[in-house]
Amino acid sequence: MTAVVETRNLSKTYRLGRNVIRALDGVDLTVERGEFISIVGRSGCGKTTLLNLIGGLDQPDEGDVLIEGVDIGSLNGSRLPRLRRDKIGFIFQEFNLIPTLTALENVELPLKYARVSGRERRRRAQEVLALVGLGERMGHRPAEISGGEAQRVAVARALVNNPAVVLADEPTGELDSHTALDLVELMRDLNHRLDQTFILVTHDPAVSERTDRLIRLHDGRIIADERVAAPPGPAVKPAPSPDLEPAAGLLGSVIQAFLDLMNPQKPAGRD
Amino acid sequence: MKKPMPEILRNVFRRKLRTGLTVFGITIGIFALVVLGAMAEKVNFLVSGAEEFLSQRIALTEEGSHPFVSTELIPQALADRVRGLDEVACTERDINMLLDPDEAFSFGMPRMISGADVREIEHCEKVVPGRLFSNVAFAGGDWWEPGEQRMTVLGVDIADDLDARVGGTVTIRDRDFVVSGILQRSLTGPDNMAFVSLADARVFLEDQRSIYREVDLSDKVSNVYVIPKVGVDAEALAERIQDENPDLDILSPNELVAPLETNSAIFNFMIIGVAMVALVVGGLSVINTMIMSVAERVREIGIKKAVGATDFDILREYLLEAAFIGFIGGAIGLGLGALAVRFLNDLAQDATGTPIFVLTTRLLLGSLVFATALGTVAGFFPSMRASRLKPVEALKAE
Repeated sequence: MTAVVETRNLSKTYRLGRNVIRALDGVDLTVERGEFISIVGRSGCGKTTLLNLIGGLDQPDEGDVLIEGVDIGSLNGSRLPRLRRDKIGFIFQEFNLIPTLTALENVELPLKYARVSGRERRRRAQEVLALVGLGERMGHRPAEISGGEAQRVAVARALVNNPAVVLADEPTGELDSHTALDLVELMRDLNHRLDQTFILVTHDPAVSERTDRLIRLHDGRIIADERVAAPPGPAVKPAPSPDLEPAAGLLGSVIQAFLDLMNPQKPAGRD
Repeated sequence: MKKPMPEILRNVFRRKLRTGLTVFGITIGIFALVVLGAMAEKVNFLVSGAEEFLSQRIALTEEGSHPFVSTELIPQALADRVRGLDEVACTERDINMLLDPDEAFSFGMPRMISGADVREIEHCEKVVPGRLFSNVAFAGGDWWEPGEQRMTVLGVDIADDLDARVGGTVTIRDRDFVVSGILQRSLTGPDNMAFVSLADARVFLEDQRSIYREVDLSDKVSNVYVIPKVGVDAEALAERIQDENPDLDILSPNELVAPLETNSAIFNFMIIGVAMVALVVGGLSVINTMIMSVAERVREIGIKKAVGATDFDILREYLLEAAFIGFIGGAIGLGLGALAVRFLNDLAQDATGTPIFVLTTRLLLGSLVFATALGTVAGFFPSMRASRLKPVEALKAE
């Protein structure tokens, strides 16, 4: 089976004044479907650059990125945005929701650019919002919801097009530690139940130890690529949080419906 | 859930003051365009009516001035010189004067008395159907009978002013006339004309100047027109008549129309001038507003690109926003302009008896299209900039 993400000898340098900074230096990485990966390393080690290159937001100086076997360097014109729209979901540190749009409309955005009809758009966005536990707050604007909620909206937006891979750049960076763990649990849960591939960039060990595979970058090179020994699962039972409660209540039924919708031919989950 | 405002409207109203000022700039431009445009349209109607009237006529004069501004009288016998020509369908004579001799200036065309021969008019109408008074139809009544005097046919503005009705009596220059007909509104010359018989017109001339009482006016007219048969090249005919009558000054249709076109052109250049002011003022403020909007929303553009917007999607969103600002400014300017024109027309009607503005559909639609196009064109450069932003850099913006 084709890897979801494959990078070959990926390199990128930046020029800052007179200094040339080698952000990535020959990165080879293969990610299979359903993996839950974290990329860690000190700031400036090239984590975000790697993520941006995988997501086609930036172009490498050398090397290739393949998404489901397609070399994205060969895509021109509107084919690259189309690939981003259909195959990649982004989650950013600062949520990056459009302030004038409601939660629902933010989630609808990728579908809008995919020219999905208004009614279908609404239906799918509502489903995904329910999936992340925000069924009740979808009429609110980003300024009217908490950081944890905003990041769930971002997760829903990343998932709504049923992407091959979700790329999350420091998704917990703006959240307090408690909300951060809730969010990681949400992503883990989605990974398990939807077989959704996630790549998280983080510098928070509490986040990375909850992923299945950990990639350590140093000066633009992969210095370690290891299975995380015992993913702790929901061992650290989070205290009841107003953010999570609707999610817990809705997850069971809605996730099954969502799965049937997205992968009708596949058995639910991978376990 | 109630249907929310579309995103483009929300974006437009994000900075209410700034958008408001931009819209205001366009509003002023379009307002001026509508008001002056309505004035120019009035002139255009006058000119095109006169052109239609003159385009099938050759004027015979002795002195070489344009019949519309001439006050001299010429012998009507001039018509005899051309009557035998094969190409000539008919001839017409008229005697023109100001309705009110003291009226010094009027916008467009002053109110006129026109002495006419009904027999000639009806004969010409028969041999060259539809050519002569195609824009002058009767709203009520008809021409007087040949030989009748103290009868008049009134243009609609004069009829309104005098409260005239068909069969009633009106006073023109202190003499009573029976109204034999009232014309429909033509938006051109005849609206402001009172037609009387040649004999009555000569009486007015004698009333007006003592010199006229000392000469025999019975064979004098203001103009003698030659109307060529259908299919005859009027210019060539005019040239031939000129060659055969070197003592006369013959004005061909083109020569008759030329000074009117200058008049019309002046007004149209006025509109173009106003449009250019609107273009510069409105356009610059749209450009400024859109540049600011794009600068504020660089990050949003990055987000949209990250979730799959193409360059074209972004370009379209910002162009629509700019077009919308132009459209709103245009619509408000149009509304205010139309109100102002109505108000001023009422004043003008009271003061001079004639509306001085004509609001035409083409002017209204044209202004709106102009405003929208202005917004779009002015928004193009900022929108282009927005659409070309690189996602990874846009996402770094504050």
